[in-house]
Amino acid sequence: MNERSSNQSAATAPDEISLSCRGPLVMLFLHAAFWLVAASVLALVASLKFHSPAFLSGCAWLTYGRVHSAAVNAQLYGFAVQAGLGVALWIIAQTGRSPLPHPLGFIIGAAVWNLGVLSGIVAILAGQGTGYENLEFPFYSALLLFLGFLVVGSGALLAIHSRRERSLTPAHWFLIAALFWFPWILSGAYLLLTVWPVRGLMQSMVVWWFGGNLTFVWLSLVGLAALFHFIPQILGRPLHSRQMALFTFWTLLFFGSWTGIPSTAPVPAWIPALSAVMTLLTLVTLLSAWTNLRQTNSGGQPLPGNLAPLRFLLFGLGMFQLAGLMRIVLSLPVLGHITSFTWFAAAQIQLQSFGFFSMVMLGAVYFIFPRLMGTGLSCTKAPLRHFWLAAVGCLLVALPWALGGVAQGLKLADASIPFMVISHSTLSFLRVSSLGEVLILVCNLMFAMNLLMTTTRCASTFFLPAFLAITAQTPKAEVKP
Amino acid sequence: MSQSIKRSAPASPSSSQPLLKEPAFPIWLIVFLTLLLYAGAVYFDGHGSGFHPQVYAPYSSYTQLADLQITGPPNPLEIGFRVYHKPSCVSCHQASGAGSPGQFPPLVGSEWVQEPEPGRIIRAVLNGLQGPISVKNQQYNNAMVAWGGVFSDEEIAAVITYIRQNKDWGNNAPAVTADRVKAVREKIKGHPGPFTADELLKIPAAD
Ligand code: HEC
Repeated sequence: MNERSSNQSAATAPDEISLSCRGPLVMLFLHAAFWLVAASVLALVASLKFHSPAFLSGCAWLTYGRVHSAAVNAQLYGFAVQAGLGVALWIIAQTGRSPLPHPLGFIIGAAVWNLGVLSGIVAILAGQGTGYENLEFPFYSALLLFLGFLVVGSGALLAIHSRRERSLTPAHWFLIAALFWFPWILSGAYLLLTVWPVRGLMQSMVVWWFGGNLTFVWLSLVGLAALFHFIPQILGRPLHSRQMALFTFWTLLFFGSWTGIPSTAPVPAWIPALSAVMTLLTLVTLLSAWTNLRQTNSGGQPLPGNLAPLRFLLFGLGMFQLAGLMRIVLSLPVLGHITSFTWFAAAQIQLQSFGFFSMVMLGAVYFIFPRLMGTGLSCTKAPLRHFWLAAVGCLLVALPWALGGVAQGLKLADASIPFMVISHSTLSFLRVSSLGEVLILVCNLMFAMNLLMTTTRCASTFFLPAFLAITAQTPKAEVKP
Repeated sequence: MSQSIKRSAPASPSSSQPLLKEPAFPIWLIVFLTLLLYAGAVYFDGHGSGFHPQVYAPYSSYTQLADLQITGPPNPLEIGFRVYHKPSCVSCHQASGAGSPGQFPPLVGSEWVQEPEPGRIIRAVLNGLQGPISVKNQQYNNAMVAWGGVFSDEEIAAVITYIRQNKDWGNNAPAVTADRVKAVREKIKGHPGPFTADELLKIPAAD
């Protein structure tokens, strides 16, 4: 019943600001939803191959190496960055109380971005991937991503510049940093890997640096911006402490950007050692964000109808902590030596990118979408169901991987156990996580369908009469071939 | 932390008030950060190798590496041990040097090995040995392959020194130099195939 009342309140006509966001955000969110579904299909195929290697093995396009990296890249660039941009635009327009300038520019930028993702995914499946982790897109796709981001990002900066409400919120700091961070790390990595390629191990260093900066720094910047913006808004109370958010911000940027070099990396010892120290220091980033948002949340009640978005956001907050702690474990010398090269690392990535970031984005989109379209979601009960399914699915994927990874690591450290025996012993864990992948796929389909139907319903109220008028005028004789 | 909970709890009914006072920054966070910084600095001091570009894990300082470097002239017994176990001689004469009865003669206590002058044994090892031979009053009639093309003069000298001076086997005869091996190599250029025991015995010991 809460849901219905929100539906009605959200159904009030969107203001000028939301209207200016509608085109760009629908474009970004629908495409993000598409890539999210594509990523989970690819991830499911990859996951099945681990215990049923014969599955789809006849086709080179669907071999594990390609499908897995296609899934990761679709998730990162198709969904994560794209949804992040959409959420960022919304927060910027709303807190600045000024409409987005030149909505068409954002739409063009998003189109270029999606062309980049599409060409990159096809290239990976065709075997043209670069072979660098998280940077598998060939150079031309990365160039499209860069240009697309530049267009959308500079539009976002223009919007911040022309804001009517002059005071900046914590979410602004995080978003502005993110807008500059992404083009910097993407161009830096591609320049050093493909344009003026560095040699030997330096390539791995660049890849690790980029991976740490994208999956930890960038995702955290945007995810935390969304948490700092939406949790107070949904609870109808201010953020507990601005100073603590500032502390989170600087420690994330300063410590986070040094991390990402594995403890087992075959490079001069000071590099992994420094990275381990910096990763340990990100503990204060986690703790300050946690305390700040817990304090904001404690005893609060969500505004009616916003239970599902809040659940998504709080779950994301929890997973941010868990994934961050696992990241610290992986980078520490003793624990890291047991867990690296095992499924534990995969579990950490899953929690970071899906458990934390995707869940926060999904919550944000569920909050934004009704206000954006002015119609309410096409299925109002779906978000809560989606939440429970996604939360269970995420943990079903990550927990078996984490537990199996620790068991695997302990056995790997014992020279008397043959390698094949160890690999076999992880199979039962992998089967459970395939089940989780199925759940996630179902959730993502629900999400995409919901957005699509809401959009078409909204669009039809605007365009159907016009469309009918045009088609009615078409003489039947001309339609015949 | 408990302080700030108390602070916000009574405030929650009236939380819609826009002017909530900014709560004090939690001091424990700063203390915790300082502790972590200290722990991190100690760890980095121990494992960072002072940014030395040649030190890789699991080592943590350059002095550790320097201690592991071989200093002084190489020990011929160590090189000989490595040549013997390459695997070369070890596959027939065994690690124990005892050979195997009726097939491969022993090197332990062998009069051929322990001859004060090494001329004959150098020839046998360089070109190989075949036909009947008596070692420690046992008769053998087998063939040993030539090692002259496999190992350098230094390596041959080292492995012969190793078998001649092996204390575990009770052998004790003078060392062999690479120069001696080189000289013998020159002398037997006209002798392409393996030697026989009879042939060797005819050669003067000091040659
Ligand atoms: C393929 C097996 C084989 C290998 C490998 C081998 N030998 Fe021999 N070695 C023999 C045999 C067989 C004889 C006896 C030859 C004969 O019957 O005339 C022999 C004889 C000898 C003798 C003289 C007899 C004695 O026992 O004192 C010496 C010295 C000797 N080998 C040293 C070496 C050295 C040094 C190496 C390594 C560089 C080596 N052998 C590698 C098979 C081998």
